[in-house]
Amino acid sequence: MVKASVTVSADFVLSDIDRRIFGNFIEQMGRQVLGGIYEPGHPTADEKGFRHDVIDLVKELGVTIVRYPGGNILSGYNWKNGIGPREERPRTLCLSRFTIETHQVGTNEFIEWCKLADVEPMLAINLESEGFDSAREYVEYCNHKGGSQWSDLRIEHGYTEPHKVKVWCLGNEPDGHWQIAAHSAETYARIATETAKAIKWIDPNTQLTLAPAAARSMPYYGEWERIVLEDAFDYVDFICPHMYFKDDHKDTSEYLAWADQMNGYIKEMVAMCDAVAGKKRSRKRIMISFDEWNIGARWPIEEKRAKPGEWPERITILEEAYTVEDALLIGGAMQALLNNADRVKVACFAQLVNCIAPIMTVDNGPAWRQTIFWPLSLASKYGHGQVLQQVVESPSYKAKTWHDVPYLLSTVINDPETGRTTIIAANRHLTETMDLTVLLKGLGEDRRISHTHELANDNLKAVNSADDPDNIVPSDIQVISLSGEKLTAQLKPASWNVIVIDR
Amino acid sequence: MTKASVIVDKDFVLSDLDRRIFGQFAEHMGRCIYGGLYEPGHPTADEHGFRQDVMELVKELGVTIVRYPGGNMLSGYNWEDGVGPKDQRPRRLELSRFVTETNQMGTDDFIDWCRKTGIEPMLATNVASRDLNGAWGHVEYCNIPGGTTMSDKRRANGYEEPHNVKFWCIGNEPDGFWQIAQKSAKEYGRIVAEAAKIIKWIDHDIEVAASASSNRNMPHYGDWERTILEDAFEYIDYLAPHTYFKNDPDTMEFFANIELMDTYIKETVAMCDAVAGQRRSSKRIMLSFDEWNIAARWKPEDKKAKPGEWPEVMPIIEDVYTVEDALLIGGTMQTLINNGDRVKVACFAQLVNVIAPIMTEDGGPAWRQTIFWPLALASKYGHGKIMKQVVSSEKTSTKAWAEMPYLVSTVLHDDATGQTVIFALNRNLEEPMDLSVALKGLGAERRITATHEIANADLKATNTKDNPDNIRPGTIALVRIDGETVNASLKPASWNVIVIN
Repeated sequence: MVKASVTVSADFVLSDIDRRIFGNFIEQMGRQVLGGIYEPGHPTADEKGFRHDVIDLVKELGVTIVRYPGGNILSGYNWKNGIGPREERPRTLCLSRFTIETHQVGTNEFIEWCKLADVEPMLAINLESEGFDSAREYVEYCNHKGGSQWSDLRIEHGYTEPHKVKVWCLGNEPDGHWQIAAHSAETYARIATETAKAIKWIDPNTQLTLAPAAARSMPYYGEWERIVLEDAFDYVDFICPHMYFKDDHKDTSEYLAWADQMNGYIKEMVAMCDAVAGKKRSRKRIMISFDEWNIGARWPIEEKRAKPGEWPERITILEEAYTVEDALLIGGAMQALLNNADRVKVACFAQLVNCIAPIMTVDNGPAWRQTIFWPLSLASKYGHGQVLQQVVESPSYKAKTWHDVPYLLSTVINDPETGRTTIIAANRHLTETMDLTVLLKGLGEDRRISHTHELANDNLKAVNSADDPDNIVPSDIQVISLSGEKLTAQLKPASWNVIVIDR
Repeated sequence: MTKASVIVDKDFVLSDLDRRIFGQFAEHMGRCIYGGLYEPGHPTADEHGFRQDVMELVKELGVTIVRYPGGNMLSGYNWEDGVGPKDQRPRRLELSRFVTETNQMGTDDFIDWCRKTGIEPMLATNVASRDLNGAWGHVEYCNIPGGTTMSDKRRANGYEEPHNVKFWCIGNEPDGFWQIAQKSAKEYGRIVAEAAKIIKWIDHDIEVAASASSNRNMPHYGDWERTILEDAFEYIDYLAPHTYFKNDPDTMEFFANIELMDTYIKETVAMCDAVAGQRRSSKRIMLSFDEWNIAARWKPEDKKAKPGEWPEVMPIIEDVYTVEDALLIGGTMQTLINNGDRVKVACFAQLVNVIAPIMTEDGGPAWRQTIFWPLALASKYGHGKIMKQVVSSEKTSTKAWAEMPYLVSTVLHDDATGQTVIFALNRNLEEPMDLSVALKGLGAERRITATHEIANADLKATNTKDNPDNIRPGTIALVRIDGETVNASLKPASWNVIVIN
């Protein structure tokens, strides 16, 4: 038995939760769009070709904002190919996946899908193979009310009202050698700064995200951030890191420590932003839009693309099957984001359907939930109100992935409006039950545990599949009690848990 | 009446308080050393020539650590000149003040003074005008027990036991154009990395501080910090910023310096942690804020002797501090404490006569300036843990800081004694502050055992030799504790201490 405790107080609030932290990401790749959200002829498809079984699962997942259209395809994507009459749209080479892009789903269709799924759109702008002019025309097309060339074209395309897209990404991983037309820090800083100024002049209500180094492991990590921030600081709102967890050591304890490395990465990125603020003697604070995060695809590099020379319209790639262990890590990483809610205001899980995704589909068949669907969906369901500061006592272990990893990873959320308190707690001890005590000071005496959810399985490698989609679903916590303001629970070894307390 | 409230909870602790935050700085400058700490022939002087009256006031000030010997003069200082028989010590040109340095006080003498006063020494070593052999010899002379030529020299000078100085500053304001042998960031980064390595190879227990930009207004602020940290990060323990507040005819603008100090600390921390991030390092550089005070009333030419005169001692920048100054110093001391998770050491600049809380007259008395009081009270009551606070206060706006709260508060709790202390500055110049402090979980059945209040209808009032007790702390008239809640009415423009046992 491992013992751990958490103390919170109604007085000590870390931050309100920005619900955009429960975002997701749709990239035009693999079967994400074609066969994922869009499959004309599918029994659940509407007249636009959108699968409603998928939309229902997106709603259940609790997605708040969706980033589109990339990702790596973005740096070769010309948005003008994806508007206007579908039959007139060009067939273009997608150099990031060696496929043909047919552009049957473009900006306007995505906006329509967002309305159906009740999510906010986040659009990414190609600043690699295209540049400044295309960007300002894009924002004018989407957000200007009318009476100008590009806004009138939108109206002509059938959209009288502007799309009012608020969050715009300035490129994607522009430093990556794998990118179409990669940038140096200096060239990206210049184009991002000038584009950001122009976008805000077109629509001052936009919020703009600036790309840091593509990963914490990039050799120029820290330098890239400084160079781009020193130029763009006054014009952007967010910096948008990406992280893909790897199972380098084939060791579950090491693997679960990625949540702690992500937490460290966030704090490093905040320090880098605030160091530039300091240099500029500015009180402005750059926030974080963590707009790609997940477990890194375990596919060989060559299988992430079509074979050179074949140029198919659609390929089946990155259809990762996620295990219980994966779900524990995704739950922990979601907590790392929540526990930094004072600076992380937006986050996009990468990605939504079929490609490294919580939602899977069969062509012309059913849609189903992977193991990782559950921590994402439960976090969004209960992630309302405020994240509380915590005083945590837990034994910890040392790992190569992060230097100090407490067995307990905890998050406490309180919603003053409803009086609901939610505890999210991962027990990362693989063999021992955790005896957890949570002291909820000032949060109310006369309450009850209204729901519990537990993700755990003797087989950490167990998965869901099209044939057995409910193999792994959350169950209840067996040993738990609330006495006054003190909660005690026994958390299974290697488990991710949610405890909900209501009036 | 302006209103403010504070909530603390025994479980929510920011950090243990490092008592070295109550440090001071004594530079070979003006009458700080000669005529301040050291005046042979003074009626209270001991056999070393140390003034006992000053020593008593230093003890009362609650000083924990003292930085020595500079300051700007450090950059031309040869420590070897200040050891050995006094009659054989050289007379040197001191280029930072155009004076003649007689070296009658030096490293060994300073150590004697520290031991007698019960204070930890912090030595600064010159890496500006000289090479690294200077720092090497200085540390070896002080800390190696014996058996090397350098350490045996110390023993020959009458100090059998090593001085064991555990805190060393590498240089002083090396970026300043006013410095003897100014350095670029790249130069200083190299020097400080190598000096730190050498010093730690001589004595593994030593902690070292590297210089930040000389102040937040330097044009290279941010770049300097990054450049030296990228080189020296692995070898240093502290980064050492300096701040001198300028007087402002508008008292509220003057008080906004407290916000700027807080910001400066947090910015410097971010700069340190950004480099840590770049290196994927879990190491955290701490801050040694080793010069801070108000000082701006003197023209540059009045801070030095006239060229060509080379006097031995010259009274300079003997600032007289007001009540308003004492309030700002109290609030700034709180800001250092409130950042106690990263500020582990701080040195008020300076200790005696030169912009100082303690003043002396040659052959005459020593007295306390207004600013003596917040420094002394903060140290007296500064024990235990710094509590996290949830603060709510009415605000005002200044040019320097929009939405500036009237209240600056600090709460300390000492588990060992059960004592809780509240420091509270009311920056509202017109209205008393109705302050409520909820001390959750710190114990219900306690009482207020002491209160102190610094306030005066005349914010420009001072203490002088002839009227040394003009400004002394009073007590708070309206204060009570009910259960775990303290309620007090704080006078307009007042700095207050409430002690609960």
